[in-house]
Amino acid sequence: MNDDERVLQQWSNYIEVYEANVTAARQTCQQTVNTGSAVEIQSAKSDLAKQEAYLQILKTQYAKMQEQYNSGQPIDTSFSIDSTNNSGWSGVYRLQGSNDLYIINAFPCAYGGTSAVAEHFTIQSECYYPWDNNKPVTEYFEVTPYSGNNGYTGWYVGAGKPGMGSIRLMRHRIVSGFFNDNYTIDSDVSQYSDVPGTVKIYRDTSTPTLTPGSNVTFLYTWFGGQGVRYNLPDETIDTSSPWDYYNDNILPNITPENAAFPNGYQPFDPDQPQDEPKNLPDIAGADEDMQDNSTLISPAMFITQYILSAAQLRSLGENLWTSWLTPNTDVWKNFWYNFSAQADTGTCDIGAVLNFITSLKVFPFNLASMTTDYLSATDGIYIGTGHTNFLPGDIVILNTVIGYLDAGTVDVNLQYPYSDFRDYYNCSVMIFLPFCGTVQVNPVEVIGRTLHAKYYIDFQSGACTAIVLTSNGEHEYILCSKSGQIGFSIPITATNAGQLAARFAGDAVQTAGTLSGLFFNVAGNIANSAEQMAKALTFNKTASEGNEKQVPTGMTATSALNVGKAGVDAGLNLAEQAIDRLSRSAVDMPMLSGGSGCESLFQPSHAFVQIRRGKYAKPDNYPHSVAHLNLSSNPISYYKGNYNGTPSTGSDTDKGFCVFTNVDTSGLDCREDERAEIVALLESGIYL
Amino acid sequence: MCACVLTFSHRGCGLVRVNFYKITDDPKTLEKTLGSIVHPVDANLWGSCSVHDPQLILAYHSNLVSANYFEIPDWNAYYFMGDPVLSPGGRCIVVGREDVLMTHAQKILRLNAYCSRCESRYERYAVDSKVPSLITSIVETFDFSASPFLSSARDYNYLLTVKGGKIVNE
Repeated sequence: MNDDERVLQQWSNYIEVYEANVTAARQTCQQTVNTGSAVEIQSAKSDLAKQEAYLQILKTQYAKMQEQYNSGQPIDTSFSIDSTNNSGWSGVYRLQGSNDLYIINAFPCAYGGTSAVAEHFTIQSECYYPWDNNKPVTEYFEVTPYSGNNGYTGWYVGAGKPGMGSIRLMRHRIVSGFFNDNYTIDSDVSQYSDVPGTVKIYRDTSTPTLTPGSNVTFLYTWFGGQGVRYNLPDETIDTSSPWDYYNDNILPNITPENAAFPNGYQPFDPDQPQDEPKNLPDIAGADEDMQDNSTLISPAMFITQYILSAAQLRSLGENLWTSWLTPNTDVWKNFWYNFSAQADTGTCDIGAVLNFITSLKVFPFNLASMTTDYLSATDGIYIGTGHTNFLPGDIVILNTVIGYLDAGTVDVNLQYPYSDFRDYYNCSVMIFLPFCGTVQVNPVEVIGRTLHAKYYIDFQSGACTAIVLTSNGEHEYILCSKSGQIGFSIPITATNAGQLAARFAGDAVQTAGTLSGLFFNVAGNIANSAEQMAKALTFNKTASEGNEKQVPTGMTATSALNVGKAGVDAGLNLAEQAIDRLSRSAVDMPMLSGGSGCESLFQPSHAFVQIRRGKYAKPDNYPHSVAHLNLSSNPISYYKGNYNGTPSTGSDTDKGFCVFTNVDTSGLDCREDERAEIVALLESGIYL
Repeated sequence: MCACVLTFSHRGCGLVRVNFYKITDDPKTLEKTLGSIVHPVDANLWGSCSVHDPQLILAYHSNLVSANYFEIPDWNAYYFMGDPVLSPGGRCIVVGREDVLMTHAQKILRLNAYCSRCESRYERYAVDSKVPSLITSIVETFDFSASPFLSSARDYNYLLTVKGGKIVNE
C-alpha cells in the first residue's frame, strides 16, 4: 500500500466512524423531536445539522481525492484555500468585531460551475479547518457588515484580496438545508453595486425551511450569475435552524481542575476551613407530631368498663351481697338465671359472679370528662350476660382501654431573671408530674419556653405515661417523659388483696414502668428511701404558697418508716439527714417519688416546674473594672464606648474598658519598641 | 516616622515646640482628652536622648508644675511628663515617656483584634467565670395551667371492668 492508498484508507476509516456517529445523532434527534421541548428540539436539530454538514464535507473531499488518485494525480488532502481555480474567493473570513469565522471553500459540483460551502464557527484559542484537523486557521480576512435592501444583511471584504481575481457577486446563505427551487439571485444582484475585487457575502435573514424529502444538508452558493442550486445525494434531515459548525478539535480539554461537578456540587476540600454556621435557631428540624387519639382501642364486648361514683359503687356492692343472695326473688331469679345457676333449686354461686368482674380501679380524675369515646348504659349494669338490675341512673361506659388527659401548659418566664448566662449556669430544673414523679431537664429548654404536659393512660393496668413538650412558639418537641401509676386497684378477691399488700411491704422494688413502692425512688434504692421520704416531707405547703409541698395527709415520718422495708433501719435522724443533704448545694434538687397509685394520691395533684438558680454578686462597676466577656473579632474602633453602649465622645465617662488579644499590627508603622508596648497595653486592657 | 530622624522645625537645630497639658485620663486611655494647652514653649533637647524618652530643657514657668503631659507637634508624639527638675538659671529639665497609645491612636483604632472583654458590648450567654457566685440560691416554681386530677378522694371515679356485658349499640 503506497502513501496515497494509505491516506485514502485513513479517510475511509474516519468517514465510516463518523457516519456511525451521525446515525446515532439522528436517532437522538428524532427522539428529542418526539418527546423534547421546543428549545431541546431546536438544539438537537442544530447539533445534528453540524454533524451532517461535516460528514458531507468529508465525503466530498474524499470523493475528490479518490478522483485524483484514479486519474493518477497526487492526492490533495486539503481544500484549496489558496486555489485560484474558480475559487479565488475562497478563504477564511471573520466578521469584524465578532468571533465569527466563515470559511468559504469551493469544490467541484456535479452540476457544473463551482459550488461553495461556508462553514461558520466561533473563534477559539485554536481553530482548525473542518476538513483538516492538523491545519490550524492562521489567516483570514476581516469583513465588514453590510446592510442592504430586501432584508439581506451580510458583510463584504475589501478590494484587493490577492488571488481573488475579478469577482462579480456571490451570495451565500449560511443556513442548513434551505432550499427554494425557484429562487434566483438575479433580482437581487441588481440591488448591489459590484466593485471589481469586492466580494459580498450575504446572510439570509429569513427563516430557512427545508422542503420535506429534500436531500440537501448544506447550502451551496454559486458565483457568477447562476442561480442557486442544490442537489446532493445525501441524507435527509428535517431542520429549520441555521447551523453553526464547531470543530471538535477546538473544544477545550476537560481537566480535573475545570471539570464541572453535577448539580453544582463542589467537593469538600479538607484543607479549606468551612464557614461557621450563622444565626443558629433554638429549635430546628421537624416538629413532634403528637397523636391525640381520643377514640383508640375499643374493648368491643369482650369487657365492659363502667364508670361509677363512690355512691354507685357502694350501692352495687350492697346489692351484690344482699339482694342477689335472697333466693327466689324476682331479682335473684333474673340475675342467677343468666349465670346458668340452678335458680330453681335456690342455689347460687357467688364466686361465678365475682369471676366475671375483672377489676375495680379508682382514678383520681373524672373518667367521664375526657375527650374520648363513651357509651351509655341505660338499663343498668350487666355482668357477663346477667342483668344486675342495678339501675342507679345513667351509667357511662368507657369505650376505650386507653385515654388521654391534658395537664395544661405553663409559660416559664423567670420572675427574677439575670437575662444572661446566669439564668442557665449553676441552675437545675425539675418538673413534677403527678403520679409519675420528677424529671430533671435542661434549663435551656425550659426557661423562656412554654411547656405542655400530656398524660396517656392505660385504664386496665392503671399505668400512665406523662409527656412534656417544650415550645418556643414556633416549634415544639418532646422534652421528657415519665411513666407512673395513676389508677390503683381495689382488691375484690383474696388473691388480689394479697398482691397489693406485698407491694406495700416493699417487695416491689421494681424496675421502671411499674409500681415503685412506698417512697422508693424509681431506681429501687432501698437504703435511700428514708432520705427520699424525708426530703418529701420537708415540703409542707402547696406550690402556690411557696417553695414547699404538701405533707402526706395522716403520715408522719415514723409511720412511713414502719410501712416500708427501709424503715426498719433504725437510728436515722431523718431531719438531720435532710438538712445535711440540702445544705451541700444550693441547687440540689430533692426528688419526689412517683410511688404507686395509692401513695401518689397524697402528693401534689398538679404538675409544676421548679427552677433553682445560684445567685451571683456582680458589682455595679464590673463592666468598667473587669469588662464583659465579648468573644468577637473586629477593628478596635468597633468597641468604643462605655457599658451603656454610649459611643465614646472623648468624655471620661464615655470611655469603656476593653481587653484585646491576637492583635494584628499590620499597617502599624511604628518602631518595634512602640509596637511591643502597644500590644502589651492592648492585651492588658485599655480605655476606648 | 522613623525613630532615627528628628524633624527640626524652623526654630533651629534641637529646638522643639512643646505643648504642655494637664490631663486626668488614665494612662491606659487610648485617646486622651487634652483640654487646653497649659503652657506652650520652645524647648531644647538636653543632651542625647531618645524619641521615646526625651529630655527637654526649657525656661521655667509656674504652669509647668501643674502639667503632667506634653506634646511635641513636630514629632507627632505625646508624652507622659515626669517630675520636672528645676535647675539654676531659671531653667527646668523635663523628662518624658512616650504615650504610644495616644501617639498612634488613629492607627490602633484601625487594627483588627480579638476582643476578649469589653465594657460596651456583652456576649451575654457565654459563661463568664469572673462573675462571682454566691452559695445562696433562688427557687421559682411554675404551675401548669390545668389540673385534671381531683383533689378530694370523695370525687374519685371508679372503673368497674366486667367480662361481657350487654351488647350496646354504639
